[in-house]
Amino acid sequence: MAETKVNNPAAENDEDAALFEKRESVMLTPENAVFSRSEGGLISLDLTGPDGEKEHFERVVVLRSFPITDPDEYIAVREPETRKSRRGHEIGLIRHIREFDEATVALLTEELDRRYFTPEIHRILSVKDKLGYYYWDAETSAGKVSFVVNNISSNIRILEDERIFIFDIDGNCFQISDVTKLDRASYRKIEIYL
Amino acid sequence: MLPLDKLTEKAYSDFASKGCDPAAFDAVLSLDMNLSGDFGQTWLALDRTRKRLYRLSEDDGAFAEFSLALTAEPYVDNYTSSNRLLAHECQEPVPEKGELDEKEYEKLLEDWRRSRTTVTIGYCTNACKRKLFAFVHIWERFARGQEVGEDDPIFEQFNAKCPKCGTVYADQQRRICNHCIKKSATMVRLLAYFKPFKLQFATVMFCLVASAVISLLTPIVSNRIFYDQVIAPEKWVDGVQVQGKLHSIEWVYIMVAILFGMAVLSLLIGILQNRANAYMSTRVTKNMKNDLFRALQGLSLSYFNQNPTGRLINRVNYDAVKIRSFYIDGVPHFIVNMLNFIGLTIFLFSLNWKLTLVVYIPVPIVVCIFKFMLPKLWRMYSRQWRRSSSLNAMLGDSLNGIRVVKAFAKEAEETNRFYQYAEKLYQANLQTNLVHLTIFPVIGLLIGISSQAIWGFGGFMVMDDFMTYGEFATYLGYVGMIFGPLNFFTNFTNMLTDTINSAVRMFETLDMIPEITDAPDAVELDTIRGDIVFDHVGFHYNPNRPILKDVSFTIHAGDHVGLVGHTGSGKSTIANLITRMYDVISGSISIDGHNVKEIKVDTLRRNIAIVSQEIYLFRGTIAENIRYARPEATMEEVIAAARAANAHDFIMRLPEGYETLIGIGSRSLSGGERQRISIARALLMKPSLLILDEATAAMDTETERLISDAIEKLIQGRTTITIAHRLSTLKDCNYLMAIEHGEIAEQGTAEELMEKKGVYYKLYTLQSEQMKKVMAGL
Repeated sequence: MAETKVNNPAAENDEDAALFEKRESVMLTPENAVFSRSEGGLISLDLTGPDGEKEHFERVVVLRSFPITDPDEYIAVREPETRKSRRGHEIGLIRHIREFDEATVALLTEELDRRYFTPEIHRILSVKDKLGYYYWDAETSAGKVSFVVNNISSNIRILEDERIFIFDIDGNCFQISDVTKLDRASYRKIEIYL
Repeated sequence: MLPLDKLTEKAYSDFASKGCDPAAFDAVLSLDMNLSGDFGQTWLALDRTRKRLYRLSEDDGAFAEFSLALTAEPYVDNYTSSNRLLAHECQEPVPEKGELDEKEYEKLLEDWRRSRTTVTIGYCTNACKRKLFAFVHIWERFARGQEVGEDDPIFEQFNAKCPKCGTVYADQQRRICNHCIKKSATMVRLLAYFKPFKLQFATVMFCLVASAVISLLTPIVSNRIFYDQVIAPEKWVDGVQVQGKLHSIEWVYIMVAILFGMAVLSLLIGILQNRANAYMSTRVTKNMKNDLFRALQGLSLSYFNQNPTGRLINRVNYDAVKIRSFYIDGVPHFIVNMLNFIGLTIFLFSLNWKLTLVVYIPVPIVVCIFKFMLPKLWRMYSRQWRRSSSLNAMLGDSLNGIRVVKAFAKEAEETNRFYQYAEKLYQANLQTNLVHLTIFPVIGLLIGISSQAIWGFGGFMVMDDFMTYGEFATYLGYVGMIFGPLNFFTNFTNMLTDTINSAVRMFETLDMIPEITDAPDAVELDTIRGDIVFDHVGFHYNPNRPILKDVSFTIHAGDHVGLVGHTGSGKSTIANLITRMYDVISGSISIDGHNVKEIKVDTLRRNIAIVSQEIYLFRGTIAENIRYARPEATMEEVIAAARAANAHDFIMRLPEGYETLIGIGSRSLSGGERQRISIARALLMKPSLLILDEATAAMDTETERLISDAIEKLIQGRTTITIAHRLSTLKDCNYLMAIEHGEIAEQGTAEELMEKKGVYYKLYTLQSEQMKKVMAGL
């Protein structure tokens, strides 16, 4: 069996190697990639190269290429960007997350959902306008929340499929995936901004 | 405890119940998410004495502690809209530096890192992001054994509270307290702009009152007097003549003349008012815009980094106009409507209080409609406006990019896109119109009902001799006037809010204190030799991202220094600090032995020329652009500078030579041509210190060669700093500095750096290898 190369990003001190070496990004499939939960509760990856060479990544970062329209497809798996080496390389791409078994899907989805944290608004309790700043109170999939939105015309974005994204002044994002499913009272509070 | 977050009483006792000593905590951070990734509250507390980091979840009381000796190197995984705080944890304590030298220590640390696991400390949304970064920063400084005081600059970025009411500002970048803005104070301050126009202001006010009086008197003259006393035949009641006192043909003429006179008078008053208004308002707007522009020009660069240009242009144009229109259209109409409303109510009640009660029955309903339906209608209008502006944006986008559209044969798709926008606009238009066309007829009907009732009641009253027909007609005239003011008042609040918003924004800019100002005892230097010393300089634009950490170097007058490094390593920042576009955060910079903070900014900028990678040419001729810094330069000097910058030849090929108009909407020059003009502009200044910040990056190698030769001749004896990532640009430098991660990684002559086999060597090898590949035809 080929020797397992340990990739420990923080240990990889020689960042200028980055100037010379460029990782070849590969397609990640259940055949060559095994994801597992790391000791610290994060995601580890064991990768088998085309020539049977094994690599272990203590921690990987997963990213969506199309976070809005295709959240389950084209998932990029990268080495983490750490203090020492600012840019991590891309290890590979997952074509569709469903290619993997359920446990892996759950592991990856949990991580992805955290990264693209966008609570779904279920109910709008109030929207108050004070000198151009709109104070919202809402119930979301992640619990009750209050936030402030300014410049409402540019911070409420409506997608072509009628999904609504609301950005607050801190840069947090909330979504309403089907505005018609909101209760009437909630809908009336935001109707006019749409 | 450091002023980051404060423990609530509950959290305090919870921590205490877990065996911690909350009174001894050094820093506390409140995260707004729990570990399962939902909104919730999680506390993090650093205790230096016990060398512990505690975590307490407020929702379920879950408690965890980390040993600071085993946990280190915290860093924040910055997500789209949430953040994860990670740290390394391992079995062995973090190695301490002790007696070890840098290399050995690094090795020890590396071994330590290899044996560790990455653990999650907590999550938060972007709302806590700044505090999270600060917490990490404090944690790291503690780990390095440094002290962090309560007055540390890291705390200045947040926690900024309104000095009056103590609420934390909603938007830390815009320090305006929504709770405490005194509407009246802002209004009074705005009035100051009208102060020089007292006469006009008085005229306007007089005219307003006069026209209100005329409009109130007209029904009396035309109905009560004209109808009752002139047209109606004589009528006596109980020996008193009540009608027809002036029942003669001459009085018809006189009355018509009076009515005509009143119409003319009201016209004249209107003209006078509008002229006075126009005179006053245009000047007030002009003054406001001038003040704003002057204030903007005085502000430091950091302000412009925080505020996009579009917003500033809007502020100068839109806000001033908005305020003006409030004072021109809003305030006078408010006063007129107020007077009218009071006058009308008094007249109506004194004419016939019983009828007036009938009139006022629908008033509450109408007010309710105005209050609840009209805001909806205005917002519908603003939606319509937004849709129409996005249609315009799409239109502009598509037509500007028409070459690309045609090149990819996408005409049909673009047309479809337009149809979609048009459809949305149509929907908004339709809805708005439907509502509009429903609300107003309903209001009309309500008003109509009351006036029909009045016709009925009034008819009885006239027949029963309770009132004359003239009184009745006067009365009807007034009733028609009462709903105008009501309508106005409902919109007025909106208008007031908008204006205060604009005014607050305007005053915010006017009151902004530039970060960089001359010290009172700043020295004026005639020339600068160019001895530059950086002494442990630290700098950041954003406290969470240090740009320069601890930079020290000396540049001697006459040196030609090259700065190399990756993009984002802090090269351009050094140039910005030398010219004092920003002030250092720590350490100091001195030029010719004077701290830059003690040299007049003017002196500094007059003697230092920067040719930066961002070229901006103003609208105007090429000659004007070259002479921008020294308008008094002769044409010979301009040509000489252009020659030196290798721009003369291409300028002469243009049809109008040096008089060719450039800038927006005029002849477009290529990137290299623009850059050469900007070099000529810098050279004409005859600077004692020249900074070339990637000045030749956009040029082909041949041009670069020519320019660097020209510059070489020019900079004899002058201090020059060249910033580049292409090493060929730096071939003439006699001293090189490699910047990496905000630190000087190495410095020396090119030969010395090659021997060191460090950053420079790597860059050199990389670039020459690429060159070899090109030569080999790969």
